[in-house]
Amino acid sequence: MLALCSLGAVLIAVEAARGVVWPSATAILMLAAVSFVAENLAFNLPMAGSISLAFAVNYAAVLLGGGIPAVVVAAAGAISLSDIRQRKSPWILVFNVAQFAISVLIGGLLIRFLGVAPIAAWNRVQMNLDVAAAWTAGAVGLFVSNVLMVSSGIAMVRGLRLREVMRLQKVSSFVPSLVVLALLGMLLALMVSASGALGAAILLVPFIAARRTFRVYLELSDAYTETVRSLVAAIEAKDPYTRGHSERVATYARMVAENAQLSSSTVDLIERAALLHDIGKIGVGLHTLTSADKLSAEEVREIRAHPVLGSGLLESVEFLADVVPIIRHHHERLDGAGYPDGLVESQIPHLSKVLAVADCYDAMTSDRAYRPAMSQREAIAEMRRVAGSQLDPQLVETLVQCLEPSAAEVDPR
Amino acid sequence: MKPASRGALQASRREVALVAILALVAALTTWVTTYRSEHAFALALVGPVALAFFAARLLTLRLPQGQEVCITTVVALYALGTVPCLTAVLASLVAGIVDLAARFQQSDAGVTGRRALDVVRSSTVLGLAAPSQLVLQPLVFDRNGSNVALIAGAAVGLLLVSLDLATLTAVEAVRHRRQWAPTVRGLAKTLGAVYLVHIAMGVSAISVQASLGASAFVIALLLTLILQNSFNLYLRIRRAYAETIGALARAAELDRPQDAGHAQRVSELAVSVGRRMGFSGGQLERLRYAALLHDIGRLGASQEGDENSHALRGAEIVTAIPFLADAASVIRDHHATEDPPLMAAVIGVCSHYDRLRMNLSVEQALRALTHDQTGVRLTVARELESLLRAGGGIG
Repeated sequence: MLALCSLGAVLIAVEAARGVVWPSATAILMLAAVSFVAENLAFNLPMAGSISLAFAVNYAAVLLGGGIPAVVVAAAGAISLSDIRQRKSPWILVFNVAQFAISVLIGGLLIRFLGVAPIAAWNRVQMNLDVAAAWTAGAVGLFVSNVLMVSSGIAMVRGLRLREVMRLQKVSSFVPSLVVLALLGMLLALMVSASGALGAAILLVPFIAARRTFRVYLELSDAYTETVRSLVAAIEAKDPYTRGHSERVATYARMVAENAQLSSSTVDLIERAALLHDIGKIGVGLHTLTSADKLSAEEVREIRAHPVLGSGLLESVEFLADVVPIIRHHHERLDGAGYPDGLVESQIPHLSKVLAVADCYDAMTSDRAYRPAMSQREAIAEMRRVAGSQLDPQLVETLVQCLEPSAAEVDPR
Repeated sequence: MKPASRGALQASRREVALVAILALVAALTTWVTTYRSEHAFALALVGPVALAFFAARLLTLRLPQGQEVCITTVVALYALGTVPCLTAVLASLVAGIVDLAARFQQSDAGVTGRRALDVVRSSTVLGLAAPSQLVLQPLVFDRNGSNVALIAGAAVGLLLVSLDLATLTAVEAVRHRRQWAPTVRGLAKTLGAVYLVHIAMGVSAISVQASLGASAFVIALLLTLILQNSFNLYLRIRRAYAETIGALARAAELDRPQDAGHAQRVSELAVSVGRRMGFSGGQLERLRYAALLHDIGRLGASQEGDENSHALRGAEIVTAIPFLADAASVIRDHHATEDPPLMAAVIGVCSHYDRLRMNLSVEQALRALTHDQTGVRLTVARELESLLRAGGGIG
């Protein structure tokens, strides 16, 4: 069904475009080559959205030579070597070529409709307001038709509604990329018109160079939390009671944050904060940590120093600037009886409250020198008991909901 | 304390002298160019060009070594191609001063002083390249020979980049008493991609100037800043790694109060020695991480274990972390006395020296150090000794 629709659409578009045939510039072949390379190098700009550099190249082709020559360029860009190597259905290839072709045709028609000819047909290359308006319309047309067709394709394949697919794709976040790529495409078209292949090469080489840097950035960025996790695990391994603690607290904190619908960057932040929240405990003597008796005042002071110690260690790390206050205040209580600063509910950072709940839960459900681990039910009951005075009640319920969806309905009071 | 501050004062005097000389030569070349060109000066253009310089300065790059670098080549190139050189140099100075004023409250006197010197330095680059304008501008404004303008633009761009790198290296070398060749290599390697972007965008703006006018430049500047921003993200995450691992290494020392700061000091010494021995940038980074984590195996271990067991434990811990995997072997071998690999020897010797310094003076520690080392470790010890005696550039 997919194939029939796309084929039908292609035929219709070709019919429509036949009325506006224009001679193509020799640079079209070169642009086609660039488009092909761009698509297969799969370069994406460092912003939200996955429009690739090929959009800029297709747009440049539209501006240069109008719809038909642009189809050649777009078609070259639609051929994905990896798809061929993976032996995906040939209809996917046809669909991709068709949807790119149709979108450039629509873009080109829009520009022509607004009275502006392709650059290749100009005697003198000169910009004015009319041209700018027409080109903007062309870019928008290209983008919108592309998105609509791709979303329709996904919707048909997955059996979803079109609006749902578009919401899932977060189309609105593509807009900044769209603006940048349209500007790049415009510059590219003018460069090619002025200086041919050399111009295109000069303009595109930096983007290809930037690609490698950006890929390394993504790898490092992904690996950062894991690196921290491993180092913290190694540090905590020295004491049987702290071993794995930060890892588990991070898991609980993450669950609560996701359940509370916090943004993904906030979720990453709380995860990092949770992994690092107890690094200040290293200095606490083993005998204090593993003591089965009541602690002396001195020992209590030692343990209570760890939020300040931990956050102090991290103050020199610019990247973790947001983590520092979260760690410093993770032992504050809503009623102000916490440490180190005795903050009350309204003063405590929200993420510190999340961390406090997660930390509390893991502490209760782990073995300690002075008592064995509580069961989940007992721990939940205890957390509810201190909700309002020590812990945030809403966050407690959120955690309970994550642990045991049915327990949320049971009211032990 | 006294030798350090005296050294620092001498270094800054040398720096100022260097920049002053550059400024004089740049003033000369600017004057000559102005004298020989038709359009000497355009006051009205200083404003917009200064604005462009200011925008480019906003995205300061902070390099892994800690230096701040402002790259404005795209603006410089476009300005040389389109406005009188005196206008461009003035605009650059104005933008720099405004930038300084904007950041004044956030930093101390030393940093501001260094930044001020850099403003002058980057303006001198523009001045020194001014004569090229006599060739470039006619080509830019001639609507026919577009390809020639392109190539000329690229050549001027390369000239600007070379001058930029040369002056940056000179200032670095004078400030920290570093050798020229490895410094310029390091800077070129780190900043090469960014410079390439600036040249390409500047050339594009010049080439499209005839048809699009100044808006071509605005687009080119915007694209440059976006690409530079992604590069900045990359630098930021690399810095995050270095700082985080440093903090965690410090955390791991908390249960051995006598060792407080040991990892950081060893790391700084080792990198200085390594740099002196000609290690590449990649090797220095590996050395830094291995040095920061060389004693992580001591965590929770009993005091009686043999010297090597903590090295093995440390290597075990670090091997499991993909990012740090190649530091593992260096950590494992850092106490080896029988023919150790060079990097491991550097860390071993620096660590040994730092421990000696906990109880002895510099002289005593050095004597004790060179007394019981042989082979590779002795070579390293000698390097460390000459480094410390030279009194400059640690860190």
